[in-house]
Amino acid sequence: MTVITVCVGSACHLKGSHQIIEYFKKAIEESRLEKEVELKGTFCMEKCTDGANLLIGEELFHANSPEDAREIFEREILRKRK
Amino acid sequence: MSVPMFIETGEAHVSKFGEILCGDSLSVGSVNGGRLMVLSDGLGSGVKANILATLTTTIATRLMERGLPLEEVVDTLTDTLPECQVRKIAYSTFTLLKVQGDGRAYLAEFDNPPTFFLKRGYVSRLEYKDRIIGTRTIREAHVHVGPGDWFVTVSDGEIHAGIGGLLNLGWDWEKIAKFLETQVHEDISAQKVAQILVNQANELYQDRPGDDTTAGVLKIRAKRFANFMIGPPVKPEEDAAIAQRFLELPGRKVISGGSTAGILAKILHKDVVVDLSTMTDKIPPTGHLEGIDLVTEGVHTVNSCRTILMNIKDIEELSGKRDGASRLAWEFLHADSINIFLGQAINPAHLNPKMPQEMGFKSRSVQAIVNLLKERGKEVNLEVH
Ligand code: FES
Repeated sequence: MTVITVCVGSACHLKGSHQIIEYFKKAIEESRLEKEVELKGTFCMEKCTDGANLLIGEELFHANSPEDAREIFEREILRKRK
Repeated sequence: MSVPMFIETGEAHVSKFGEILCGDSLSVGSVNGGRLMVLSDGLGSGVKANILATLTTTIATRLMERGLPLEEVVDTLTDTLPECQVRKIAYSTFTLLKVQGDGRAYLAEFDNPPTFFLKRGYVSRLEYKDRIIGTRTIREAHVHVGPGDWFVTVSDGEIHAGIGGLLNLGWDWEKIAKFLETQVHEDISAQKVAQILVNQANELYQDRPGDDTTAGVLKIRAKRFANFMIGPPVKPEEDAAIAQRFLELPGRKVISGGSTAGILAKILHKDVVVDLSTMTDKIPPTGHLEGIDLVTEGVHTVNSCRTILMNIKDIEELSGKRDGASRLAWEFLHADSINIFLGQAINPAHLNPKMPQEMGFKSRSVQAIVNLLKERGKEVNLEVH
């Protein structure tokens, strides 16, 4: 099971974590990965200046838009599965 | 140990059909640790009745608030209220009700329907004694009350509702008593009960009330406390002590902000779990932390909560809402007494010039919330760390 944890703290919220979460929800559903990928939230990870932060497993990523999130999802989740 | 008591009040009126002004007047006041309620029904209806009734309730409330013994207030009212020259009856009636913080209650009635007193959900008879002052007979009762008890006082428009129409003899006291027993329960507000009574009377009058109709309600219940912590203290070495003191306070616990949640999670040895299903596009989700009643994000939630508190009329508007700001507002509105711990440590990341300015507005919003809550009659205690 892979866990995507998106920061929903004050700063990341302003940088669009809501849209990013919505994107991941949809992406997980569309690629039928509900059993393999879990989506979680966390409050501030104390890296607020870096942009909307998210972790895949333990690894940190930044996304400034759902577009960035899509790129990360494709690169880190979809391609690595194959 | 006795629980601190709180006395909640509610009132509702409907005027006689065709009248703009209600000829009943109800006034609510405070005496140290307690509440007063005065109901008066002016003779006739319309402007004249309204003036007489208002005069009666105003005089009585002022005298009682100044600490004049109730017996003397009754004497003053009885001595000074004018009598109608033609009809030889007093121009207005009154009910005086005073409940003190220690549970002692006093009731005096002149020409109004007997006040309903409910204990454990049932209407129970009060032991009245008659007192004659001049030509008038006042009914008095003393009783000791505690959480779970209610007083419901009504003008005779309530008792006569439906007379000659839907109900032959009107709604009558006994029927209202039965009705009240079906309506009153722990979770209903005093205001709601007052409204229900008046609405029911209005229905019996088929929307054309034959008399001014008023209900005043006192609900005696345990005082509700809420404790709210937002932001870490300026001195990190104080984190644990302040959080510990917060946890030991009686009442509900609410925390806002990621760092605050982190401090408490550490002390409680539990994890904060974010509940993504409560997220909206404006308000970040809430979280769960065992031992805490509500965990929310900080600045955005608090700002939205402030907007809610500026506009909301009734706490019921929040029922069913799951977002952090609505739930935070609910906690504030539900409580009678609120302790706020505001930590002013600055998140270094927020000082970055790339951060939007509103990130720094947290303290200002908290201060605004304190003022809004005080305006609503809440006891608020703000500690800044
Ligand atoms: S709010 Fe996301 S890292 Fe601070």
